[in-house]
Amino acid sequence: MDGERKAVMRVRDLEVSFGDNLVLSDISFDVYEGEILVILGESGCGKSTLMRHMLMLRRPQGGTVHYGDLNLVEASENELDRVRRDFGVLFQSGALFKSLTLGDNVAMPAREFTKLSEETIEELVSLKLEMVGLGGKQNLMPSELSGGMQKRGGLARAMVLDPKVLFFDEPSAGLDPVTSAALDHLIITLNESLGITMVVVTHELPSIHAIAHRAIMLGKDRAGILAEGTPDELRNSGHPRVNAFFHRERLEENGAA
Amino acid sequence: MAHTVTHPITIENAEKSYAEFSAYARDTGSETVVFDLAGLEEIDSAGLAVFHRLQSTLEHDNRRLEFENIPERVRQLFELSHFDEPSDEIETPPPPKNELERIGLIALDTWQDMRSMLGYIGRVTLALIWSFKYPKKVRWGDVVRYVQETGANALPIVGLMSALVGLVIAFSSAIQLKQFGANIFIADLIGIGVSREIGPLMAAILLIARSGSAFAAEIGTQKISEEIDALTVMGLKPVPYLVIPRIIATLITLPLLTIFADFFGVAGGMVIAQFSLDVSPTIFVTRLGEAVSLWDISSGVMKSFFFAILIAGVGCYRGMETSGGAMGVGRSTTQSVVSGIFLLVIADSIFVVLFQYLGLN
Ligand SMILES: Nc1ncnc2c1ncn2[C@@H]1O[C@H](COP(=O)(O)OP(=O)(O)OP(=O)(O)O)[C@@H](O)[C@H]1O
Ligand SMILES: [Mg+2]
Repeated sequence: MDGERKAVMRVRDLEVSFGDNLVLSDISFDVYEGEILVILGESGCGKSTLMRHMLMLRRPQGGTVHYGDLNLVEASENELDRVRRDFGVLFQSGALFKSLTLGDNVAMPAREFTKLSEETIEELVSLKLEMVGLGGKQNLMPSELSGGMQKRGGLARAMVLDPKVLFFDEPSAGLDPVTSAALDHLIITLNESLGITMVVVTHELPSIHAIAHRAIMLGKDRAGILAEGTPDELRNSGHPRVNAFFHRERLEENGAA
Repeated sequence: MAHTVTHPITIENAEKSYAEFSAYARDTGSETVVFDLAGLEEIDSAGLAVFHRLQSTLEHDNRRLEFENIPERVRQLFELSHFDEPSDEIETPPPPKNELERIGLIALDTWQDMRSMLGYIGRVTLALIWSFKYPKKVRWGDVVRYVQETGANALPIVGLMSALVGLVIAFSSAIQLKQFGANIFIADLIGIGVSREIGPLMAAILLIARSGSAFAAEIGTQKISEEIDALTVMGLKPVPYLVIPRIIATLITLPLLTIFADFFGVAGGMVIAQFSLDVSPTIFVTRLGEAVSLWDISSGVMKSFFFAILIAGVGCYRGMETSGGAMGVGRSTTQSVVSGIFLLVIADSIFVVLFQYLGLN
């Protein structure tokens, strides 16, 4: 990362609730261009919820989310559609369309939004599949792929139109350490070679240390952001909950929170 | 004064131990009930539960439970189950207090649900009109596939059911007609009844059962596996992408299925006319031509266009509203059939009144 640090996304005072259940409040942070930002926190603290609201799949109860100069919270559906063309998202389950082959899944954004010829699209698809290590598998159905392969397929689809920002929801959850390390490596390579900004939700300590340029840790019980910084800074932070997370410690129930 | 526990407390003798301990607690009557555990060699989770239960009953009467001489192993178990702290409140959503309140809440829920469902169908209808203005944007390939699924594949069951219903209606009216010597009017009865009501309703009910539910299940599954979110972030809106092709397909198939059902319903009636009422097919068909007006048939077909939007709309709405995993998909599917049939009957009643009121008979 270079010194200037231009923010591509700015989240301010985000507040989210489901009915009476206030899940996020007081969330403010920036995503800088070209960085890998990791969002971490205990299970159920609202990481996926935060990601869904950065993508404006649901409107928050308060606060703003800016992408460039556009406030997504107040943007129209058409504006959102335009903005989302800059985004690629890898959902927790991969979210491949089960009725299409892997190749058609990856080709879908290109077929819908570009005027590329079918031949070019096919080349593009095999290029992206090659990148995620699924070369030659375009004709398989998602049900014929393992969980890790589905995730990589989802990644290929997310990157097919060269997004500016890639979002990942727990990319390595449920993967074995080797596959998960390979995925981390892929994330780093994509970031370095294509300069894609990345927002990654994860709990995996090895992943965090491997990929994160910066991390923010969400607190449980709508405590806002507990800590923000490089993995090493968080690791040595004085905050008991952050410490416990990074050292895999059990936190005494009635200890400080 | 402490009660000395000498035997193990395990799953085998838990109830007996509880009876023993609570009898002791009752007999002493003192504020603090003390147990000496020096001789307790074995205790399992059921045993812990016994003490927890005793503690809650005592707490209820503002009394306390205490232990003496707790062996090390038992102490660890006690710590694990947080014996020293007051037991946690079990979190429950505050239940509405009385039945009346519950009925009111259910009614409100149902009302809300109906409103948002009808709102959704309204919005989808607008999108449908919009898509007729820009037919290039419609995914015709999907439309063809759904026409096949909702229409062609439904022909056997629609034909069979309609024929059987025509048969049953004709059979049950045959006796009365014979009493008045009005055998020939079987053609009027079947012709008008089937073309106006039985045909459209049979076709619609089978569409709800076969396709409305399938829409809810398909879209619901896509919803819970994040496919809908994936579509949205790719800029492909679920309504034009998933809903509109299904609605156009049912708009094509339901009127055709209705005519098909009309035909088989009448054929069923004709069989009974021949065998129970001695009305030959030739006479039946001739009479049918005199009795049934074009309006009878076209009003039924016209209704089916509305039913098609309603049924596909409900199915898709239920799918889009799905949450809560595989169980949620099941719930949505059931709901799509229940609210589909409910709305169908309401809509049909409105048509009956409307036609009557407009003098279209
Ligand atoms: N659609 C929803 N309706 C109601 N409550 C929701 C919904 N989605 C999430 N929640 C609530 O929001 C809270 C945070 O959920 P979220 O899925 O964001 O957690 P998470 O941090 O991603 O957890 P995990 O690490 O286990 O995936 C939970 O308490 C959950 O009950
Ligand atoms: Mg999550």
